[in-house]
Amino acid sequence: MWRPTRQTEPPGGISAGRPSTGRVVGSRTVTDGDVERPRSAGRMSLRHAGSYHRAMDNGPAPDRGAALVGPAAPELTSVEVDGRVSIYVPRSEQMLSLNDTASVIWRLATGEHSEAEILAVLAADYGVEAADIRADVHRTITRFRDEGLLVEHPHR
Amino acid sequence: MRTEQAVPLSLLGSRIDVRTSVAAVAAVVRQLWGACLEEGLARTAAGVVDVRRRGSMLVVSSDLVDSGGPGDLPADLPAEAPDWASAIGLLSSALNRRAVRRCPYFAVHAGVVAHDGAAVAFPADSGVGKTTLVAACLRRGMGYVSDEALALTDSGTVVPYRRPLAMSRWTARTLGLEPAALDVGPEVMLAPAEVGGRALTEDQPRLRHLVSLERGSALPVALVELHRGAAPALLMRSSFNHYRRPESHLRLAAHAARSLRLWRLTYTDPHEAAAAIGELVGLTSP
Repeated sequence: MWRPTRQTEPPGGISAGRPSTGRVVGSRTVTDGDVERPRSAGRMSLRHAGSYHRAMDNGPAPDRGAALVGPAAPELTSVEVDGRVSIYVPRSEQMLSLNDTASVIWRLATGEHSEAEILAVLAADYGVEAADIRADVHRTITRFRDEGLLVEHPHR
Repeated sequence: MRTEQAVPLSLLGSRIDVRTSVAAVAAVVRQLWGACLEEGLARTAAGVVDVRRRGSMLVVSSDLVDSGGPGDLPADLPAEAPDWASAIGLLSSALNRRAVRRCPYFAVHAGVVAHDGAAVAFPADSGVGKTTLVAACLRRGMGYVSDEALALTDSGTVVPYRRPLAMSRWTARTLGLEPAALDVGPEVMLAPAEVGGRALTEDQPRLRHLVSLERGSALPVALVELHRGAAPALLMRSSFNHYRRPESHLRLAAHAARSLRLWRLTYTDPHEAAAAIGELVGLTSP
């Protein structure tokens, strides 16, 4: 007899896959819907904004001279469902599905924050030591860059 | 004198007529595609698929050109068949290709069943066992929506595509359906009514469960709930027309995802899998 169970997933990461057929006919960031946000607006969610300010108040000063992360490449289309972000990448015809933490990083990758600042937000938000998740955050941001999901931004 | 007959079909939002002067073909089309017959004839047919006799062969042709879009397959028609049963096989494939290609809805390659207005879809590529699982679900009393496509309207309802079910003779035998099956070459075909299942309580049910299938050998049946945030990606990856309007289709997939539950179903026996799917929609006994 089967019993439904809820899956627990490992932290960090992106799953990717190519849609079965087709091509892309242009794209832009999805901005409507109740939990979708216009990423170009460069705002973080209230929850993460709070974490950010707590982290900035109590933690390191803004990362002067550091490379900023993002913003998202303009041709991408993204949606969010229950905190998880899905991204459609037109040039590769791939769908990327982000887990919870990668979704948080993605929302903070607006071109306004450095990697260290994003790390501070995540550490505050999840109540962990920054050192414990530094490698995961770096790996995720590197993956975003390698996949061409981010516009390379000048240093602050 | 041969009388030409036209059978108007409503397939994924398009009216496509089958025209033939072969009485046996017309009769079988009416029998197998009976759940797809166009009601009223207010709409003009988008096109015609013809089945005609030429010498000892039957020729299937169409004025609906299957080209002009991305991912085109080689032209499938005209094609010849040595007998009417083989012609039905060709016709089925040709109708499906044209219906899918013309589908105005966001369409996902999936088997879909429904109960009490709640639809369950299991996206999968060909050969994974969608039709077998759909048939097993119908045998347990669920309603037939499609063994091929989850077609979502902009408002999120599911448009049925009740084409005949094609399966191997072995599968038909396993499901107790062999006596009703029509041999069409390598497979057999069955009208949905012959497979069983209840009539849909709503013309267009709502998608409530999305099930990712993982079939293997000697796997105990297990249904694991996943975060539904992964549903848009699953729907887009399994879509065969997302490329037409990727932004709006992704938005529609997200809209649908917010009102469904996402599952991974591992199984070996389609009967056990159907029982698990039945319990999702509150159908606990066959």
